Amino acid sequence: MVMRTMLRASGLLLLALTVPGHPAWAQGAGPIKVGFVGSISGPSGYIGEMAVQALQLAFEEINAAGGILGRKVEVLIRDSEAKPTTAVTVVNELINNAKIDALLGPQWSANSLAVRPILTNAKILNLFQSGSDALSDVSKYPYGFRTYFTATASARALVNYTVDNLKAKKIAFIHDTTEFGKSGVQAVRRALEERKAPLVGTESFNLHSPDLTTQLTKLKQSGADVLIGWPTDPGDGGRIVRDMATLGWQIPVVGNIEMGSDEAVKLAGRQAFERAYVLAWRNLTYSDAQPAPPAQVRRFLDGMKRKYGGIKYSLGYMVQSYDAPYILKLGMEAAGSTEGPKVAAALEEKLKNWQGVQGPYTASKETHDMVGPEAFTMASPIEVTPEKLQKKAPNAP
Amino acid sequence: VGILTELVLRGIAIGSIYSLVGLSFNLVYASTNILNFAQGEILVVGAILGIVFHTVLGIPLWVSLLCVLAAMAVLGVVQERLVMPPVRREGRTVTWLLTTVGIGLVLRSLIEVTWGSRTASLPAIVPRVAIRLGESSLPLVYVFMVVFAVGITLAVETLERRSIWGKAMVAVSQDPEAAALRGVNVWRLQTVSFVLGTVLGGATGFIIAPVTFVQAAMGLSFILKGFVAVAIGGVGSNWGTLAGGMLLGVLEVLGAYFTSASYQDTFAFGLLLLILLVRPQGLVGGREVLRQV
Repeated sequence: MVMRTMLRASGLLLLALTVPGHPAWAQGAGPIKVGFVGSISGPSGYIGEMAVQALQLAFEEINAAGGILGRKVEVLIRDSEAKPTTAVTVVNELINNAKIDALLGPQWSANSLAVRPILTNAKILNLFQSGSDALSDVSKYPYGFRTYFTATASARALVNYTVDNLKAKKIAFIHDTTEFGKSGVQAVRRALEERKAPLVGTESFNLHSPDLTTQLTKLKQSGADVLIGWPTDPGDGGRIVRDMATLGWQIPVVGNIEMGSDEAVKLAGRQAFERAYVLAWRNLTYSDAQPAPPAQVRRFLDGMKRKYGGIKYSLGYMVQSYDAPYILKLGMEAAGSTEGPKVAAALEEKLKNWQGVQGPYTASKETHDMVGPEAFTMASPIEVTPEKLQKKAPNAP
Repeated sequence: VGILTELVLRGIAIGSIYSLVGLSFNLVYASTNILNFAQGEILVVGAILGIVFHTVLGIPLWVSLLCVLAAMAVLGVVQERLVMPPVRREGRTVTWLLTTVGIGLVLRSLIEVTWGSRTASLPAIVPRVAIRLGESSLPLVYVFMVVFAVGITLAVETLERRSIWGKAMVAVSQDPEAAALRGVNVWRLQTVSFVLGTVLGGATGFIIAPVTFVQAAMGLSFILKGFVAVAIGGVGSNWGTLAGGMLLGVLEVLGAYFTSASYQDTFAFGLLLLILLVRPQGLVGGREVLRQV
């Protein structure tokens, strides 16, 4: 009787371990704990919501395929409320109480800057999604790898399109006063100096200002023939083009990814965006010559449709959160370890031109900014497919 | 039209939003002597309910506005029930300050949980046309905000000065016990004050949504600037509050034009500090107002 019960239990255990979707996890080790800190509430909280959707899809796929190093991955999601102080609190909790092996996020540059010393001291591998150039120093942040564009790379792409394609003679610039916005000021000025293009006016605005006509009036008086917009929040992106229309200021606008999001277009209306060109990931655009996206993008879009019924917001902010878990898997398996220093060294050595949904990723000892300018193009924010792929702008790279 | 004229006109239009928030303060203050610091979140609730009724449920815009006003009236009654009992029980205390701030925080949390942090908008309730100002234009909704603010001020003034209800409100604010002895239903009047203030707050949110767009976090900025409008004009002074909000809007715009937009909030709150220091009863309010506050 006892023997029969033991046999039945063993049989059930064996069955559980071999049923598809329930991989046999490595013995003697618990799950790998990966924290995610995102701006899930607070201003622009949907950016965090999008990231959570994308990374949960990726980890679900990774776990279904056997996890990382044969271990299941457990994701611990925390909300930074887009506040650096909260980001510091939740990162400390994840490191000291939850004992995470790696961290994804935070989003927003001010939050990334606030938590960076803590992650460096704890030697936690971190794949982060913020644009500020101040986060590029590998000697200060040896375990941090950026999955987003830097302000410098983004600014160069915008300026190159402005000078080469729009033939701008006088350029004006408007940005918000967040850490990301301030980073944009330096980056755009440098990029314009590199191309010897004249900047005739710069204006700023506080996040969610109800009206930007005063700033735009000043820029209009400068005689600019192209405006570069650098908002952090899509609502502000919408306000820039809406208030330009109010002023009767009909010059082309070139903007960052946030400026051309689906949300910004919905708020300001398609008409206001007719002369807008925005930064986009090349993989997430289409053209007459290349109507279908690359295979990895197709797989991601199909996965999103299966799990969530489709893409709720824009693709631009969420694809890096889908790629990050796969980069983490690559690094940990190449290192044969979850320890931050070993995984960082493995990524520096092995991550070369890895093709993610967002674009190619490369890391080295010299730079952890994994996304290069080859990932960018310019797109029209109003020519968008139901799956949120944007049409490449005329003559864009 | 010169640039300065254009800037002043836009400043008046944006300032009229601050005036409307200030007027909603005054409506509650009229019979209760308290300032409802939940008014910023009430504005956001009004706008979001408008979006839910019109955009999500597909109810026609004007019917959506009526639904918002009805919902706001209920919210006004609920607020009165939460805020006033301790005040009636204990007389002059600061519990109302904590309760109104607390209601604001609860509303903010509810908005964040249910609505999230996305930015949305509503169509304007006036035709989508603009008045030409040289090369630029002033959308009709901006003009409507000013007309609405002036109309509301006129209506509130008429109510308070010419109707028996208004006179009873003033009597209750000056001495509730004496007013009750003369047959005034104090509770009912104070409930009406809360309802009117909340309905105005919700209507303001609905009307300004196409201009400001709607975001869960926007309430704080409007409550602070509405308070500055009241401080400039004098608590309880409706014409003063109307002028105060518009003056603040114009100063913000001109300040941003001649210096930098980064200092916009600095101008607003610098002005508040200056007025509290030099003329705490406001530019219009008299000594009596100061004593009551």
